[in-house]
Amino acid sequence: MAKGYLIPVLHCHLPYVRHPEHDDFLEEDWFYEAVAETYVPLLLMLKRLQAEGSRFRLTLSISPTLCEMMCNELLRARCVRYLERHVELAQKEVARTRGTPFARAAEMYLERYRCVHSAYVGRYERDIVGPFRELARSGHIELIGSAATHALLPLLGEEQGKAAQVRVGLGSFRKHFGRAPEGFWLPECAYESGLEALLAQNGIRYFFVDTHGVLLAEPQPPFGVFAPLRTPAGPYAFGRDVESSRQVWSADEGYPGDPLYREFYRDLGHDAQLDYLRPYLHADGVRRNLGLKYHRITGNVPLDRKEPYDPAAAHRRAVQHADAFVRERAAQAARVRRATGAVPVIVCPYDAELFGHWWFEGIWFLERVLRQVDRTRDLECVTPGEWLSEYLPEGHARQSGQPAFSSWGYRGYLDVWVNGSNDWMYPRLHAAESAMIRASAHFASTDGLVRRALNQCARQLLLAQASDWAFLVSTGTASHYARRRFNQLMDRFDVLLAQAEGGAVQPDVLRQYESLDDAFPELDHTVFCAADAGD
Amino acid sequence: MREMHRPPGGGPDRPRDRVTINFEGADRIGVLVRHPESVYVYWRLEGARSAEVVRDLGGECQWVLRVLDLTENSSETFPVQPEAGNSYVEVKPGRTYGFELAVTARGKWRTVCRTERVEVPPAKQVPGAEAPAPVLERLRPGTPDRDVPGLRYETTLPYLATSPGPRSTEGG
Repeated sequence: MAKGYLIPVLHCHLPYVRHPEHDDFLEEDWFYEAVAETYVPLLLMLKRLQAEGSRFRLTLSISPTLCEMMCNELLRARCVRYLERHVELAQKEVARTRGTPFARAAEMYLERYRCVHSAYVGRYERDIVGPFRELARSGHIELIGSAATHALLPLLGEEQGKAAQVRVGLGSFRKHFGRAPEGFWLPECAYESGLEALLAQNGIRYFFVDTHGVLLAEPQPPFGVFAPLRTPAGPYAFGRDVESSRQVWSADEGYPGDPLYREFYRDLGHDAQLDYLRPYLHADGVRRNLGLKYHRITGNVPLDRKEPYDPAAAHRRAVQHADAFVRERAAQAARVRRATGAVPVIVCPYDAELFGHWWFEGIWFLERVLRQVDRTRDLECVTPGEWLSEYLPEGHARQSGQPAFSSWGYRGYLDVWVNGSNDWMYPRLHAAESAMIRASAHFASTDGLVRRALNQCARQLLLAQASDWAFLVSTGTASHYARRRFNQLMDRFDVLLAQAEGGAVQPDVLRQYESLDDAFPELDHTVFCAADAGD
Repeated sequence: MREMHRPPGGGPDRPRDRVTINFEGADRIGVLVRHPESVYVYWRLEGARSAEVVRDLGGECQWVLRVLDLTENSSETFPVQPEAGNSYVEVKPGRTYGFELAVTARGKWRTVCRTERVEVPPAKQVPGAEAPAPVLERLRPGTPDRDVPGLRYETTLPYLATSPGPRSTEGG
């Protein structure tokens, strides 16, 4: 028996951004950047470990909107274009920086973009869902489901609306991965009483909550977050570990702030001559980040005094940090074991995009952590499903209770998603949700254009319910786009619902909206009126 | 659609939702729990009931939001502007509330719409329970929004609810 169990969890998510009406669209870059900097490097790293024979375990959530984007032909084609342009730019950069302190970084970028392009276009044939599915089949990763569009379930208006998000999300999972998931990622770990019953009705065995979701459970669980909490409805809640979270998440104490690591905020797109960059910018010609960054964090100095980035030194530091992380988890497990007499479970969930995109060295860190845990006898990497099946019956710590309302957002609740900047969204969302449920029940057996229109209404509503829009407005990042996109989705919902209810669906309008907002093509609007929400 | 006329304190014991929306015609009220000490209440007065109540009570009426503390069996009433459409209400952790939008005049009281019971979560005060405080202001420094028509500066991945991103001494 291991002395401690480590459950690393990565949550991959992006909102559904696809704009076929434009030849290139700025916010679509979020997807291409994530493919280039996180998803493909992560896949390559996991495949490398698998080839080495490493017995690593990783729990991975790929949100349904992201799965849909990964499988969308238009986005795949544009992703290839993005990678080709970056290979070309990186080639120019190698020539431009030759003989300068930036040469090694430029060579590293060229190698990286070539490698990602080759894997994406060649080995994976533009399908990055497939390789994750294969890793799940071999048991190295455990894929879990999530809500359809990353809606914060506690902020939806109706039980049927919550059930629709869960069901559509699980349907998407089955479509992409060929089976039902055991686990579920609650968007933003936002939990409220009753969700465990909805998840249980949908065959879910476990989910994740933030630390205080477990520590404030009723009754207070004796093992805290170091053992999963069996909820009254049956599914287990795994609580986030504080110490390991802080080491990676914290801006002040976390590893990503090390002076040797790459400085995120200084980018070639703002440093080089505009004429040189123009072929790699969008049609508006406005400077933007291009992902090639040549400086390290350095320390407490302004951006113009950052020092050249040394990839080799940063790699060495990532290895040191990973080794320290594993040592500290082993020491933590020993402490908990002494205090409780039980072998602890340490749950470490992170947003996947932190690794590679925000924290450039994060993939190196993760690779080393997974490799080192496999080598140590003090810790064992497991997935929640594996732990529940294989270890729970062995007499490990058991506890049960009702988790507390919580999220992993700022201050631990929902302030970020409901505040003076974004609260205007909710009356409209809730009214649409109620109208959708009503119309879905009324027209449940109607076929033809009305059915198609209601299916599209359901699509528009689900996409509008994404927590991303409120988040982006709240944080002021891409808030202009988030506002416009939210209103666009809701306007289309209103138009189609009025047409459907009035029996006057205009086929050309319907076709246009179906083409523009095409996520979940198999969606059936009656998911909103199921008699027993959650069956 | 929820039951409309059940008094907040008289419904089933099990609170159903944190969001409750009751319709009376098209007059509606909703509440979202955002924090153990704060809820967001909104209303939309677009139906017959609100117009009828105002007509019935005459021009000198006052719109009020009544906050019913169903745990303590107490209530507080706040004047509101009907056109404001929303209010943030301070609440106490761990209690159950109901919210009611009403009109008063000359000692008369007319309820226009009310929510169901809403459970506010307990405060996050267990020793050692403090999750690492994510540093929101560092999450998405990137380049700022520019509301200039035709110009869009945003580029980088916007997401990560809790990630600090790499530390920099100078945001974007």
